This record gives sequence, C-alpha cells and structure tokens, in this order.
Amino acid sequence: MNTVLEGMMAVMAQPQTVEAKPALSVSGFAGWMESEQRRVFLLCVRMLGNTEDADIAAQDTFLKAWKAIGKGDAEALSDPAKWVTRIAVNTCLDRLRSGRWQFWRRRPSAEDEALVLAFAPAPEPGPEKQALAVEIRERLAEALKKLSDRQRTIFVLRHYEGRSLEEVAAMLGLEEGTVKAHAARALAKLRTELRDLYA
Amino acid sequence: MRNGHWNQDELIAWLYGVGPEDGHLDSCGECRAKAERLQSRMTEARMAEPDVHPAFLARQRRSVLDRIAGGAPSPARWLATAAVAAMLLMAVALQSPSPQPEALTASSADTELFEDVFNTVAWAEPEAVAPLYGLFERSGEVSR
Ligand SMILES: [Zn+2]
Repeated sequence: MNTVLEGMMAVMAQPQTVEAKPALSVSGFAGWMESEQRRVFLLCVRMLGNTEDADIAAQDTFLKAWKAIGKGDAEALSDPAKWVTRIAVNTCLDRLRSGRWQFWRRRPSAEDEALVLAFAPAPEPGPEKQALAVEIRERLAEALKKLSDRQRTIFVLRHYEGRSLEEVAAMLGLEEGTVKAHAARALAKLRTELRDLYA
Repeated sequence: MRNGHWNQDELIAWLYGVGPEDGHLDSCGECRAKAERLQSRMTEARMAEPDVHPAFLARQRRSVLDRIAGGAPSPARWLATAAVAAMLLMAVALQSPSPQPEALTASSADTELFEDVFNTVAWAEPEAVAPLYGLFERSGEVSR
C-alpha cells in the first residue's frame, strides 16, 4: 500500500508515540475510525436529527476521510479529530441542503432509535432526577430543530463537542463575530431548554 | 454601564461564548462560582450523551470498509442488508412494551441478535473483499 498513507495512518492511530510502527494502512484507518466513530456519529445525529441519516452521513464522512488521506491531505495530521469533525459537519450541511424537502419528515420511532442509541444514566442520584435529566436532554435535542442549519452547527460544536467559538469559526471558515451572532440567536431560541438544563 | 450580578441567561450566554463583555466575572467571586458550576453541568451533560450500540458501530465500520474496498454494494448485499433491517424491526415489534432509552442492558439481546443475524445473513463475502477484512479481524475490534 501507499507508504505516505501508511505513515499518516500510523501517526493518526497513535498520536502520542513517536516510535509508531507503520501500521497496515487499512487496519490503521479502521482503528482510527473506531476511535472517532461514536463521536462523529453522534455529531451527525445532532446535526441531522435522526439515526438513519446520521448513519449515512457518518459513513460518507469516513469515506471522504479515507480518500483525503489517500491524496495526502496534510491537515489530517495536525489534528485528526478536528479535521474529521470538519468533514462531518460539511457532510451534514450538504445533506441538509440537498434534502431539505424531506428533512425531519420522519423521525425514527423510539424503538428504532433504541436499537442504536442508549442513554447513559444521568450523574445525579435518584430515579426522578435521572428521568428529569433524560427528559431535558431529549427536549434539548428536539429543540435543535428550531435552529437554522448554521445555528445548529455552531451550537452542536460548542455544546456537545466543547469547541470554542474561535475553533468553530476556523472549522466553518467564518469570522468569529459571525459565529457569535449565530450562537446568540441559537441561545435565544433554546432559552427555555437551557434554563431547565442549567437550573 | 451595567452593574450588579449576571443573571442566569447571561451566565448561560457566557458558557456558550457570548456573555456580556463587561469583565464582571473577573471581579465577582459569586458569579464566577456560579459560572463554574454551570461549566461543570455542561461537562456532565456531555458525559451523559447517549451511547451507541457496538454492533451498530461495527456494522457501520464494515459498511465503510466495504465501500473502501469495492465501491457500491452488490445487489446481493443490498438484499442481505434489507433482510437484516427487516429482522431487526421484527425483533423490535416482538419486544416488550417500553423500549425506552435506558435500553443498553435491555438490548444486549438485540446486540447479539444483530450480530448473529448480521454474521449469518449479511456477511456473504465477495471473494475479492475477504482478504481486506482479514486485516481487521486480526487487528482486533472491528469484527465484534
Ligand atoms: Zn456578580
């Protein structure tokens, strides 16, 4: 296999160690994908609102990542997590733009979602508090529908991914001021849910 | 000029990077303590994000690797995938009344079913692709 790819994948698979042995490219890629997959998939779920579309988007994301690595995309090396996040965000935004008419048309049933997702118990003790925490989380996820694509992207990257708005701006190729304006509008639309979340 | 403490909405706005720019947090320990509490709640909320079933992720990885290896899935693979989806739906339909989100334990049976069904039905491997997956099997996690 392509030696550039091998080297890149070895670095990506083991970012901490300098003595990374050249892994087989595909297995290196698979290992790296596995380490990022849950996060990327959940990001797509937040962006797209359902697990079916998110599955397709997550797959497309990794396929694009694979192809970009094959072409020697140097950005992959400096911060692979951020790089693949950006690919995922763009993939979701493309999907939203192209499928607007059918978007949100069908939310998979709770049964379908439960096959894929399982909510971790909330950290607070007591079943009532836990149920409330789950309810607020779900309400917030649902409320993301009220946001524009850009507002949702920015909110998701900040809230679920913990990215700073500066990072978000760089990822989206926007001015930080623009990102702040979108973030402020997103917060205004999510005010009720956030008040409850942080009550 | 504003004075007085930040209200809850302002603290939340700060948490999301768009709080008031009056430097109040630098001079007010009370608001700073509240802000830190919100920050840890945000982290908690992030930790409490849903988990994703390993079998689903394994299936997703295989699908990506399949596409890397050979382009579009064959009609046979399509049928097999549809069969898996149908069986999963049946499994859900047969399941008891409340498949609520606390379902990771409840659905470890689903996971096994998914894996069994997936391995038996969907994994009729095109010859050319098989050696590629050998790599993953050896590397450990992918085939679960
Ligand atoms: Zn204060």
